[in-house]
Amino acid sequence: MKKENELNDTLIEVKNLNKCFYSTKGIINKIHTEVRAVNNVNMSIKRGEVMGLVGESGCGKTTLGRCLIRALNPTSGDVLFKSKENGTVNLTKLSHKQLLSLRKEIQLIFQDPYSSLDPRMTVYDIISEPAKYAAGLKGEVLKRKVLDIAKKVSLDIRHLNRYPHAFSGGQRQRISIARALVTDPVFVVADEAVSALDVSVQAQILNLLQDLQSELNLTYLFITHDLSVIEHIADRITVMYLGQIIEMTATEELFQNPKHPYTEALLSAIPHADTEKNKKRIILEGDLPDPANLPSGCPFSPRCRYIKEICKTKRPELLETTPEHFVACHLSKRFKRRNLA
Amino acid sequence: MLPTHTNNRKKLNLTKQNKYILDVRNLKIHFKVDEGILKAVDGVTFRIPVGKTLGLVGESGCGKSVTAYSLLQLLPKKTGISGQSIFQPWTRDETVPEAVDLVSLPFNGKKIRNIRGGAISMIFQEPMTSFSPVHSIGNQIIEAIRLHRTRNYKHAHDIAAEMLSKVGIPDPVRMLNDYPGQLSGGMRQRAMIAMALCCNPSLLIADEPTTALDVTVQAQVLELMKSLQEELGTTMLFITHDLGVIAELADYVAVMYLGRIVEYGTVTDIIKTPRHPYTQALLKAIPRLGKTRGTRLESIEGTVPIPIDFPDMCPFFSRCSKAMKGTCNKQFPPSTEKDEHSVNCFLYCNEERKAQL
Repeated sequence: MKKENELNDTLIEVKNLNKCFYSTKGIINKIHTEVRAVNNVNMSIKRGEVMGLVGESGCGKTTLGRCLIRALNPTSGDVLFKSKENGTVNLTKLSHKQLLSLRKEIQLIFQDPYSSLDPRMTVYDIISEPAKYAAGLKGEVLKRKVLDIAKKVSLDIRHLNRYPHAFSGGQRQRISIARALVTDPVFVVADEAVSALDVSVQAQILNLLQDLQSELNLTYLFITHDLSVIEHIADRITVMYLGQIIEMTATEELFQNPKHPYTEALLSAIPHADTEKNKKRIILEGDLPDPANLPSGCPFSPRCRYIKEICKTKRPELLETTPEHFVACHLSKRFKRRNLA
Repeated sequence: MLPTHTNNRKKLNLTKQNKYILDVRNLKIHFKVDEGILKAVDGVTFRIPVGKTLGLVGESGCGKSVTAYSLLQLLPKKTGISGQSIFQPWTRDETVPEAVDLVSLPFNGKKIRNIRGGAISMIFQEPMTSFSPVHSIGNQIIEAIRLHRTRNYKHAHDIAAEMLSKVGIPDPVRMLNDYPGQLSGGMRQRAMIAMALCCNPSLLIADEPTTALDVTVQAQVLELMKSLQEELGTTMLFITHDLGVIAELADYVAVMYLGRIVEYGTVTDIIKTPRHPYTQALLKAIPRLGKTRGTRLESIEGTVPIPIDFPDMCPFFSRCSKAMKGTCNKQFPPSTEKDEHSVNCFLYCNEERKAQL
């Protein structure tokens, strides 16, 4: 399936990416607040792999995904993308026009299949739109391409001139996937692509995404909050907390040997269908802090069970503690995972 | 402070242990739509023993929320409801209140209004939208207490504050003056739980209470509900689509599909030895930690059929891998029971019964 040299080939490299949102309160005494949704993120995604991105809601995972494809303009930082046609380009520095030629190589699958499809367009129009404008296909070629992709995602081609409301959630997500893949992209950001679906349909879509990946040699950034889904599909996992990456490593390694206290708590919080696993839970106290008012030092320190003096004052860097295992924690060396089994 | 909620589960009267707090028999809920009759719930029968938790699982559109809403008469006026839901309120003292059939009560009558929020209360799915945004949390909780427990405002205020501290809210008195928009999702769901429990309900209906929450917050809320149930001895009807949550919390599980209960049993029976093909397929379709990685998930083909004018047959027929043509599409399979584990599937009907049909 995956060739060795492909796995070592970096497709996207993110360097010191930041995204701030600003809000203003009041009319006379204006108060400006700054929310750092993505805070100094460094990561790289290799060609042909599935990178999982997990975190609680509000931790900035969607913002990061959107910055990567420049659906949002990052405040600072670089996103280096190896394009098929243009060589390595820095996505953050491109103008709108230059970006347009790259759009077909990078695509996004949206979260909610109910609101991400235009109700006034037929399914055929929805799928063909990106092929027309981003890939520049016309006439017969366009038609063949659309039918081809519709077949690939198991849509009935007789139904292509219907409107989205006539389809169920699973079918709509297939339409979204077809729309994303019609331009033959290399890199696909799947933002909670299966979260809105029922379990039996979720399995169908996950299988479809996996099949398409090996068939079309795609690279995914798979954003989700569901850890069992990510364990199933991802090769490597990035855990985000309050806009920062706190742990990044291969899937098996993360689940067997989580090094950050937050990852540890996150993993123990998953409800299991296997009742014999009456494991002890780590219950985190409190909620995510207000991202506009970050705690000084480690962002996780107010909820951490292992907190030391240094955590309150100094922000930990993302360091490679063991090969290919990156952790941002002052105690990562001393930190021993509590036995969860 | 008030002398409330001091009893714990151990003190429960054992003679009452075998009683069922809710006994739903052949409940049918039909909606008239333009295309015909939509059978949202079509002959559902289940019972919940006192102090236990029944988990109602199923995919969206299978009728689990509608079942719950019908218990409190919260459905639209013109809905056709038939069957019986016998509710036997349960008290800590010896007095046994009269049992009522919830289906027969008029939706705006005094009786149901006494029960609603009092003897039966409900936690709604979305903590974001189920509070009124223009009333403070305190107002909304105190309203329920004053309707059901005491007219005295101060007294009600104290009960509300105590309940909020019970669900782990720091500084509950201040929280009473806060508006829902000021709280995070987890906090709002805690306030919702406090509101549902403030009138000592005999039965608590929880409709997907953790679905909109993050995993770590979900863990907090589940833990809280478990400990509160132990402390107050509340009976729960827990509705969810997440089998993991069910495994954590429920004593009994009813699996619903297209308006029918297809399998019912204890939580271990359902998770370990599922009998109905739908339950089996559902359990195989969830990605499980450490088990499914690198494999393909066994998905259930097709989608849930639309229950408009649905014929009398096994609802799972069109998607079932073990479907028997000529048997399964002729009528709804009868229930086969073995040690509290019942299943509606022709695979388990013995031969003579099949011949009879």
